[in-house]
Amino acid sequence: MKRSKLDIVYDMLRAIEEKGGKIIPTHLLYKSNLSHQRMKLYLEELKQRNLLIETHTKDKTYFELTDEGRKFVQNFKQMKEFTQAFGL
Amino acid sequence: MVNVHLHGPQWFLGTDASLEALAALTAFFVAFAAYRIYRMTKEKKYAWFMTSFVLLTLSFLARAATDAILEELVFKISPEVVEKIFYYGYVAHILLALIAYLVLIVVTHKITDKRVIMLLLLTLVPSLLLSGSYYLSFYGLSTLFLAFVTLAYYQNYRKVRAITPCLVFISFLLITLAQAQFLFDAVRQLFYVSAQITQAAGYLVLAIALLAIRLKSNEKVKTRHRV
Repeated sequence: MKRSKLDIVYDMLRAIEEKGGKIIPTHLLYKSNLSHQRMKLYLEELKQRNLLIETHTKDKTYFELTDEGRKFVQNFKQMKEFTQAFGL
Repeated sequence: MVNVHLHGPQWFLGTDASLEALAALTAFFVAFAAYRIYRMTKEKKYAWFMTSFVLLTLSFLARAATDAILEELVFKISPEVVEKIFYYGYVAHILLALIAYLVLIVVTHKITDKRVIMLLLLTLVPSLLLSGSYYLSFYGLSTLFLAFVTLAYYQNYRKVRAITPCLVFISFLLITLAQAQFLFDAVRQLFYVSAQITQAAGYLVLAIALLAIRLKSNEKVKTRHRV
């Protein structure tokens, strides 16, 4: 089944959450099951919406979940539960 | 001339209004949860679901307020206004609830054909206008409409097999049974009492379902963090 935009955003943010709130781009690419090009587009949007931030160490780039990002994951889970409970 | 009739035994006066207020509160919480989801997804189905529960909230508020005023729980009223309060309060409750149930049928059975929706809406007109008793027509129609909603929730529970869909199904089953009991209120007053209690139990289970949804989504986060 084709994933909606919201599902893709949730999959990306959940992947970061599962890695303890911080992930390297290669792992995110693998976990979110997207092409490199599409992932870049999504990352830009997520950064603009302040759901994640990009951080750099000496040799690595990380994507970190913001508080708003965590809240989004939480709300999305509630939405899934609600939809399932009421068969919507 | 409207025949003002207070339902149920004397000792139950006041309790019914409180139970109706409880139903209104639960319906409001469901509507609010649906609104939050609609704000996030912008999907129409959540907006319709929310609309249905907003109408239900208003309907139960109208009924609770009418019963509380007629039973003179808050203040004394003159006999001239009693008829008007009874008529407008009950008509508001009936119309709002029936439209809410119809919207719920459309959402739960995923009916998209506008002609079918219009047909459902039009069936209300003769059922209410040509009826000798608004009260009986209302509970007859409510029983039928809610039976269809309950069927959808039963099918959803069979498909998903989880606790929250089960609670939603039980809740609507109780609410439907309550509507059928209200039909016999004219025969025995105790039917009114048992109907009110069954309906309140239904809305209580619905509130528990809502709480379970919240707890379940919180639980998963904690488990993952522990791992």
